Amino acid sequence: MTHFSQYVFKSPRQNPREFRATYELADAVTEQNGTKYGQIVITGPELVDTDFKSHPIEIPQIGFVNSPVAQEKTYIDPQALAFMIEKALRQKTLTIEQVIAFLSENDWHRNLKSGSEFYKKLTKENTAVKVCKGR
Amino acid sequence: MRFHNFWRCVLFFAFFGFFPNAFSAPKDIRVRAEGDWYQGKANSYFKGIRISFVEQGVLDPVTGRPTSKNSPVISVPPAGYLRATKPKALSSFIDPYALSAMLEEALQSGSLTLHQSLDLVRSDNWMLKTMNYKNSKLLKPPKNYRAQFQSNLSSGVGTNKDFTLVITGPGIMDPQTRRPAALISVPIYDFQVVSARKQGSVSPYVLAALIEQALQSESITARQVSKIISRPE
Repeated sequence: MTHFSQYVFKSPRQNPREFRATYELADAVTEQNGTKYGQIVITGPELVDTDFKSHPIEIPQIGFVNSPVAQEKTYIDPQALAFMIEKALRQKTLTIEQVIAFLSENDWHRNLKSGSEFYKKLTKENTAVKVCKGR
Repeated sequence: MRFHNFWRCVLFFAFFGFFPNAFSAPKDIRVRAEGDWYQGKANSYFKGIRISFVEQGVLDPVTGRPTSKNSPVISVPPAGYLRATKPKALSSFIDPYALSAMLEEALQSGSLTLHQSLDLVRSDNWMLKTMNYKNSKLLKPPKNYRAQFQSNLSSGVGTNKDFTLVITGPGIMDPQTRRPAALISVPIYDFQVVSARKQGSVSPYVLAALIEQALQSESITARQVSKIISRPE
Protein backbone atom coordinates (compact mmCIF):
# COMPACT_ATOMS: atom_id res chain seq x y z
CA MET A 1 0.00 0.00 0.00
CA THR A 2 2.98 2.29 0.44
CA HIS A 3 3.32 2.54 -3.36
CA PHE A 4 0.13 4.54 -3.47
CA SER A 5 1.32 7.16 -1.05
CA GLN A 6 3.10 9.37 -3.59
CA TYR A 7 -0.03 9.56 -5.79
CA VAL A 8 -3.01 9.09 -3.55
CA PHE A 9 -2.26 10.70 -0.22
CA LYS A 10 -1.84 14.43 0.13
CA SER A 11 -1.01 13.78 3.78
CA PRO A 12 -0.67 10.57 5.79
CA ARG A 13 -3.88 11.26 7.68
CA GLN A 14 -5.97 12.22 4.70
CA ASN A 15 -9.64 11.32 4.65
CA PRO A 16 -11.84 11.00 1.57
CA ARG A 17 -13.71 14.21 0.75
CA GLU A 18 -17.15 12.62 0.32
CA PHE A 19 -19.07 10.01 2.24
CA ARG A 20 -19.46 6.58 0.70
CA ALA A 21 -21.60 3.82 2.14
CA THR A 22 -21.53 0.36 0.59
CA TYR A 23 -22.89 -2.99 1.61
CA GLU A 24 -21.08 -6.26 1.18
CA LEU A 25 -21.73 -9.76 2.35
CA ALA A 26 -19.17 -10.68 4.96
CA ASP A 27 -19.92 -14.36 5.49
CA ALA A 28 -20.74 -17.08 2.98
CA VAL A 29 -22.51 -19.11 5.65
CA THR A 30 -26.25 -18.72 5.95
CA GLU A 31 -27.57 -19.82 9.29
CA GLN A 32 -30.64 -22.01 9.72
CA ASN A 33 -32.91 -19.09 10.59
CA GLY A 34 -31.98 -17.35 7.35
CA THR A 35 -29.55 -14.89 8.91
CA LYS A 36 -26.79 -13.64 6.65
CA TYR A 37 -24.03 -11.44 7.85
CA GLY A 38 -22.90 -8.46 5.91
CA GLN A 39 -21.49 -5.08 6.62
CA ILE A 40 -22.22 -1.52 5.70
CA VAL A 41 -18.91 0.18 5.23
CA ILE A 42 -18.87 3.95 5.54
CA THR A 43 -15.90 6.11 4.67
CA GLY A 44 -15.71 9.87 4.52
CA PRO A 45 -14.41 13.13 5.94
CA GLU A 46 -13.57 13.39 9.63
CA LEU A 47 -14.04 9.68 10.27
CA VAL A 48 -11.14 8.97 12.56
CA ASP A 49 -10.22 6.10 14.82
CA THR A 50 -9.77 7.50 18.33
CA ASP A 51 -8.07 4.30 19.58
CA PHE A 52 -5.24 4.54 17.09
CA LYS A 53 -4.95 8.32 16.96
CA SER A 54 -6.59 9.85 13.94
CA HIS A 55 -6.47 7.06 11.39
CA PRO A 56 -9.20 7.25 8.78
CA ILE A 57 -11.65 4.53 9.63
CA GLU A 58 -14.56 2.55 8.30
CA ILE A 59 -17.66 1.67 10.27
CA PRO A 60 -17.66 -1.92 11.52
CA GLN A 61 -19.80 -4.85 10.50
CA ILE A 62 -23.50 -5.21 11.07
CA GLY A 63 -25.59 -8.37 11.01
CA PHE A 64 -28.48 -8.56 8.60
CA VAL A 65 -31.51 -10.78 8.53
CA ASN A 66 -32.67 -12.19 5.21
CA SER A 67 -35.88 -13.93 4.24
CA PRO A 68 -38.20 -15.31 5.57
CA VAL A 69 -37.89 -12.65 8.27
CA ALA A 70 -37.48 -10.22 5.38
CA GLN A 71 -41.25 -10.19 5.06
CA GLU A 72 -41.45 -8.40 8.39
CA LYS A 73 -42.35 -4.76 8.27
CA THR A 74 -39.16 -3.90 10.14
CA TYR A 75 -36.84 -5.36 7.50
CA ILE A 76 -34.92 -3.02 5.28
CA ASP A 77 -32.85 -4.14 2.35
CA PRO A 78 -29.17 -3.60 3.18
CA GLN A 79 -28.22 -2.45 -0.33
CA ALA A 80 -31.00 0.14 -0.21
CA LEU A 81 -30.03 1.14 3.32
CA ALA A 82 -26.41 1.76 2.30
CA PHE A 83 -27.55 3.96 -0.59
CA MET A 84 -29.90 5.93 1.68
CA ILE A 85 -27.23 6.41 4.35
CA GLU A 86 -24.77 7.71 1.75
CA LYS A 87 -27.34 10.18 0.41
CA ALA A 88 -28.38 11.33 3.89
CA LEU A 89 -24.74 11.91 4.88
CA ARG A 90 -23.92 13.79 1.68
CA GLN A 91 -27.05 15.94 1.94
CA LYS A 92 -26.43 16.45 5.67
CA THR A 93 -29.90 15.33 6.72
CA LEU A 94 -28.12 12.94 9.11
CA THR A 95 -24.78 13.27 10.84
CA ILE A 96 -22.25 10.48 10.99
CA GLU A 97 -22.68 10.44 14.79
CA GLN A 98 -26.40 9.75 14.38
CA VAL A 99 -25.73 6.96 11.89
CA ILE A 100 -23.08 5.32 14.08
CA ALA A 101 -25.25 5.61 17.18
CA PHE A 102 -28.17 3.98 15.42
CA LEU A 103 -26.28 1.16 13.73
CA SER A 104 -24.43 0.37 16.95
CA GLU A 105 -27.66 -0.63 18.69
CA ASN A 106 -28.47 -4.29 19.09
CA ASP A 107 -31.43 -5.30 16.93
CA TRP A 108 -31.18 -1.98 15.15
CA HIS A 109 -33.16 -3.25 12.17
CA ARG A 110 -36.10 -3.97 14.45
CA ASN A 111 -35.81 -0.48 15.88
CA LEU A 112 -36.03 1.11 12.44
CA LYS A 113 -39.64 2.14 13.02
CA SER A 114 -41.37 4.00 10.21
CA GLY A 115 -42.39 6.81 12.54
CA SER A 116 -38.95 7.31 14.09
CA GLU A 117 -37.03 10.51 13.56
CA PHE A 118 -34.06 8.56 12.17
CA TYR A 119 -36.19 6.77 9.58
CA LYS A 120 -37.87 10.01 8.52
CA LYS A 121 -34.49 11.66 7.97
CA LEU A 122 -33.14 8.59 6.24
CA THR A 123 -36.04 8.48 3.81
CA LYS A 124 -36.41 12.21 3.34
CA GLU A 125 -35.40 11.91 -0.29
CA ASN A 126 -37.34 8.68 -0.79
CA THR A 127 -40.81 10.12 -0.49
CA ALA A 128 -41.74 9.69 -4.14
CA VAL A 129 -43.51 6.37 -3.62
CA LYS A 130 -43.30 4.09 -6.62
CA VAL A 131 -44.16 0.57 -5.61
CA CYS A 132 -42.38 -1.97 -7.79
CA LYS A 133 -44.26 -4.89 -9.28
CA GLY A 134 -43.23 -8.31 -8.05
CA ARG A 135 -39.96 -9.02 -6.30
CA MET B 1 -43.82 38.87 -34.60
CA ARG B 2 -46.08 35.99 -35.52
CA PHE B 3 -43.36 34.70 -37.78
CA HIS B 4 -40.90 34.60 -34.82
CA ASN B 5 -43.37 32.74 -32.63
CA PHE B 6 -43.93 30.24 -35.39
CA TRP B 7 -40.21 29.48 -35.65
CA ARG B 8 -39.88 29.27 -31.88
CA CYS B 9 -42.60 26.61 -31.88
CA VAL B 10 -40.91 24.73 -34.71
CA LEU B 11 -37.56 24.78 -32.90
CA PHE B 12 -39.17 23.73 -29.59
CA PHE B 13 -40.91 20.70 -31.07
CA ALA B 14 -37.92 19.78 -33.22
CA PHE B 15 -35.63 19.83 -30.17
CA PHE B 16 -37.87 17.80 -27.89
CA GLY B 17 -38.90 15.52 -30.75
CA PHE B 18 -35.30 14.56 -31.50
CA PHE B 19 -34.02 14.71 -27.90
CA PRO B 20 -36.88 13.58 -25.66
CA ASN B 21 -34.50 13.01 -22.73
CA ALA B 22 -32.77 16.37 -23.08
CA PHE B 23 -34.20 17.83 -19.87
CA SER B 24 -35.30 14.73 -18.01
CA ALA B 25 -34.01 14.67 -14.46
CA PRO B 26 -31.09 12.28 -13.93
CA LYS B 27 -32.20 9.11 -12.21
CA ASP B 28 -30.69 8.44 -8.84
CA ILE B 29 -29.84 4.81 -9.08
CA ARG B 30 -27.02 2.60 -7.88
CA VAL B 31 -25.75 -0.57 -9.51
CA ARG B 32 -23.16 -2.73 -7.79
CA ALA B 33 -21.59 -6.11 -8.44
CA GLU B 34 -20.41 -8.22 -5.54
CA GLY B 35 -19.20 -11.77 -5.27
CA ASP B 36 -16.63 -14.30 -4.29
CA TRP B 37 -14.48 -17.02 -5.80
CA TYR B 38 -15.69 -20.56 -5.51
CA GLN B 39 -14.25 -23.82 -6.66
CA GLY B 40 -15.67 -25.43 -9.79
CA LYS B 41 -14.92 -28.73 -11.48
CA ALA B 42 -11.33 -29.93 -11.93
CA ASN B 43 -9.97 -27.40 -9.43
CA SER B 44 -11.02 -24.47 -11.56
CA TYR B 45 -12.09 -21.34 -9.73
CA PHE B 46 -15.07 -19.25 -10.69
CA LYS B 47 -16.52 -16.10 -9.33
CA GLY B 48 -20.16 -16.00 -8.33
CA ILE B 49 -21.28 -12.43 -8.86
CA ARG B 50 -24.60 -10.79 -8.20
CA ILE B 51 -25.53 -7.42 -9.69
CA SER B 52 -27.88 -5.35 -7.54
CA PHE B 53 -29.92 -2.27 -8.43
CA VAL B 54 -31.25 0.29 -5.97
CA GLU B 55 -33.49 3.01 -7.37
CA GLN B 56 -34.53 5.91 -5.24
CA GLY B 57 -38.20 5.77 -4.33
CA VAL B 58 -38.76 2.12 -5.26
CA LEU B 59 -40.39 0.34 -2.36
CA ASP B 60 -40.88 -3.32 -1.53
CA PRO B 61 -44.59 -4.12 -2.00
CA VAL B 62 -44.59 -6.38 1.08
CA THR B 63 -42.71 -4.28 3.61
CA GLY B 64 -43.38 -0.87 2.06
CA ARG B 65 -39.71 -0.06 2.55
CA PRO B 66 -36.86 0.81 0.20
CA THR B 67 -35.55 -2.26 -1.55
CA SER B 68 -33.10 -3.53 -4.16
CA LYS B 69 -33.49 -5.67 -7.27
CA ASN B 70 -30.92 -8.36 -7.91
CA SER B 71 -29.64 -10.51 -10.72
CA PRO B 72 -29.19 -14.21 -10.02
CA VAL B 73 -25.66 -15.18 -9.05
CA ILE B 74 -23.70 -15.06 -12.31
CA SER B 75 -20.93 -17.57 -12.71
CA VAL B 76 -17.89 -15.83 -14.11
CA PRO B 77 -14.64 -17.58 -14.90
CA PRO B 78 -11.54 -15.51 -14.17
CA ALA B 79 -10.24 -13.69 -17.23
CA GLY B 80 -7.06 -15.77 -17.44
CA TYR B 81 -8.98 -19.03 -17.27
CA LEU B 82 -11.34 -17.82 -19.96
CA ARG B 83 -8.49 -16.89 -22.25
CA ALA B 84 -6.74 -20.21 -21.76
CA THR B 85 -9.69 -22.50 -22.27
CA LYS B 86 -12.52 -20.81 -24.12
CA PRO B 87 -11.20 -18.57 -26.86
CA LYS B 88 -14.55 -18.58 -28.67
CA ALA B 89 -16.25 -17.05 -25.65
CA LEU B 90 -13.82 -14.16 -25.58
CA SER B 91 -15.68 -11.97 -28.01
CA SER B 92 -18.91 -12.14 -26.04
CA PHE B 93 -17.48 -11.67 -22.56
CA ILE B 94 -18.12 -8.50 -20.64
CA ASP B 95 -16.71 -8.23 -17.18
CA PRO B 96 -19.64 -8.01 -14.72
CA TYR B 97 -17.99 -5.22 -12.72
CA ALA B 98 -17.62 -3.15 -15.88
CA LEU B 99 -21.15 -4.12 -16.88
CA SER B 100 -22.53 -2.86 -13.56
CA ALA B 101 -20.75 0.49 -14.06
CA MET B 102 -22.09 0.71 -17.63
CA LEU B 103 -25.62 -0.13 -16.50
CA GLU B 104 -25.49 2.49 -13.76
CA GLU B 105 -24.45 5.23 -16.16
CA ALA B 106 -27.05 4.15 -18.75
CA LEU B 107 -29.79 4.14 -16.10
CA GLN B 108 -28.75 7.53 -14.75
CA SER B 109 -28.76 9.07 -18.21
CA GLY B 110 -32.17 7.56 -18.93
CA SER B 111 -31.03 5.61 -22.01
CA LEU B 112 -31.97 2.34 -20.30
CA THR B 113 -34.86 1.48 -17.98
CA LEU B 114 -34.60 -0.61 -14.84
CA HIS B 115 -36.90 -3.16 -16.47
CA GLN B 116 -34.56 -3.49 -19.50
CA SER B 117 -31.52 -3.80 -17.22
CA LEU B 118 -33.12 -6.52 -15.13
CA ASP B 119 -34.19 -8.38 -18.26
CA LEU B 120 -30.60 -8.29 -19.42
CA VAL B 121 -28.87 -9.51 -16.28
CA ARG B 122 -31.53 -12.06 -15.41
CA SER B 123 -31.31 -13.83 -18.77
CA ASP B 124 -29.18 -16.96 -19.01
CA ASN B 125 -27.31 -15.65 -22.03
CA TRP B 126 -26.53 -12.20 -20.63
CA MET B 127 -22.98 -12.47 -21.95
CA LEU B 128 -24.30 -12.98 -25.49
CA LYS B 129 -26.80 -10.17 -25.10
CA THR B 130 -24.01 -7.72 -24.39
CA MET B 131 -22.14 -8.93 -27.48
CA ASN B 132 -23.20 -6.08 -29.70
CA TYR B 133 -22.81 -3.40 -27.07
CA LYS B 134 -20.66 -1.34 -29.44
CA ASN B 135 -23.59 -1.02 -31.83
CA SER B 136 -26.05 -0.44 -29.03
CA LYS B 137 -27.31 3.02 -28.16
CA LEU B 138 -28.03 1.82 -24.65
CA LEU B 139 -24.74 0.59 -23.23
CA LYS B 140 -21.58 2.67 -23.39
CA PRO B 141 -18.18 2.13 -21.74
CA PRO B 142 -18.04 3.77 -18.30
CA LYS B 143 -17.18 7.47 -18.18
CA ASN B 144 -16.47 7.65 -14.46
CA TYR B 145 -14.00 5.80 -12.28
CA ARG B 146 -15.15 3.54 -9.47
CA ALA B 147 -12.84 1.85 -6.98
CA GLN B 148 -13.87 -0.52 -4.26
CA PHE B 149 -12.12 -2.92 -1.91
CA GLN B 150 -14.13 -6.04 -1.27
CA SER B 151 -13.52 -8.54 1.46
CA ASN B 152 -13.75 -12.12 0.23
CA LEU B 153 -16.55 -14.08 1.81
CA SER B 154 -14.51 -17.14 2.63
CA SER B 155 -12.27 -15.06 4.87
CA GLY B 156 -15.08 -14.80 7.43
CA VAL B 157 -16.43 -12.11 9.68
CA GLY B 158 -14.28 -10.07 11.98
CA THR B 159 -10.53 -10.15 12.35
CA ASN B 160 -8.47 -11.39 9.41
CA LYS B 161 -9.76 -10.90 5.89
CA ASP B 162 -8.68 -11.19 2.28
CA PHE B 163 -9.28 -8.01 0.32
CA THR B 164 -9.48 -7.42 -3.42
CA LEU B 165 -9.50 -4.02 -5.09
CA VAL B 166 -11.80 -3.63 -8.10
CA ILE B 167 -11.55 -0.57 -10.37
CA THR B 168 -13.63 0.30 -13.43
CA GLY B 169 -13.50 3.41 -15.54
CA PRO B 170 -12.86 4.99 -18.93
CA GLY B 171 -10.22 3.22 -20.98
CA ILE B 172 -9.98 0.20 -18.69
CA MET B 173 -10.27 -2.57 -21.25
CA ASP B 174 -9.47 -6.24 -21.51
CA PRO B 175 -6.46 -6.38 -23.86
CA GLN B 176 -7.71 -9.64 -25.40
CA THR B 177 -11.38 -8.84 -25.94
CA ARG B 178 -11.04 -5.06 -26.29
CA ARG B 179 -14.09 -4.73 -24.11
CA PRO B 180 -14.66 -2.76 -20.90
CA ALA B 181 -13.13 -4.63 -17.99
CA ALA B 182 -12.15 -4.19 -14.35
CA LEU B 183 -8.70 -3.83 -12.88
CA ILE B 184 -8.66 -6.44 -10.13
CA SER B 185 -5.82 -6.54 -7.65
CA VAL B 186 -3.93 -9.53 -6.39
CA PRO B 187 -5.76 -10.24 -3.11
CA ILE B 188 -4.24 -8.95 0.09
CA TYR B 189 -4.38 -12.17 2.07
CA ASP B 190 -5.08 -12.40 5.75
CA PHE B 191 -5.17 -8.66 6.28
CA GLN B 192 -5.93 -7.73 9.85
CA VAL B 193 -7.48 -4.30 9.85
CA VAL B 194 -6.94 -3.60 13.55
CA SER B 195 -3.27 -4.60 13.72
CA ALA B 196 -2.64 -2.77 10.45
CA ARG B 197 -3.97 0.40 12.04
CA LYS B 198 -1.58 -0.03 14.95
CA GLN B 199 1.25 -0.16 12.42
CA GLY B 200 -0.01 3.01 10.79
CA SER B 201 -1.56 1.43 7.69
CA VAL B 202 -4.74 2.86 6.26
CA SER B 203 -8.03 0.97 6.04
CA PRO B 204 -8.48 -0.71 2.62
CA TYR B 205 -11.93 0.82 2.31
CA VAL B 206 -10.53 4.31 2.89
CA LEU B 207 -7.75 3.57 0.42
CA ALA B 208 -10.31 2.58 -2.23
CA ALA B 209 -12.20 5.86 -1.70
CA LEU B 210 -8.93 7.82 -1.98
CA ILE B 211 -7.89 5.94 -5.13
CA GLU B 212 -11.25 6.71 -6.74
CA GLN B 213 -10.86 10.38 -5.76
CA ALA B 214 -7.31 10.47 -7.17
CA LEU B 215 -8.39 8.82 -10.45
CA GLN B 216 -11.24 11.27 -10.88
CA SER B 217 -8.99 14.27 -10.24
CA GLU B 218 -6.35 12.73 -12.57
CA SER B 219 -3.55 12.85 -9.98
CA ILE B 220 -2.98 9.14 -10.71
CA THR B 221 -3.62 7.19 -13.89
CA ALA B 222 -5.29 3.80 -14.27
CA ARG B 223 -2.02 2.52 -15.74
CA GLN B 224 -0.11 3.50 -12.57
CA VAL B 225 -2.74 1.83 -10.40
CA SER B 226 -2.63 -1.27 -12.58
CA LYS B 227 1.16 -1.58 -12.18
CA ILE B 228 0.92 -1.28 -8.41
CA ILE B 229 -1.98 -3.62 -7.76
CA SER B 230 -0.56 -6.40 -9.92
CA ARG B 231 2.23 -6.89 -7.36
CA PRO B 232 1.51 -9.33 -4.54
CA GLU B 233 2.91 -7.02 -1.83
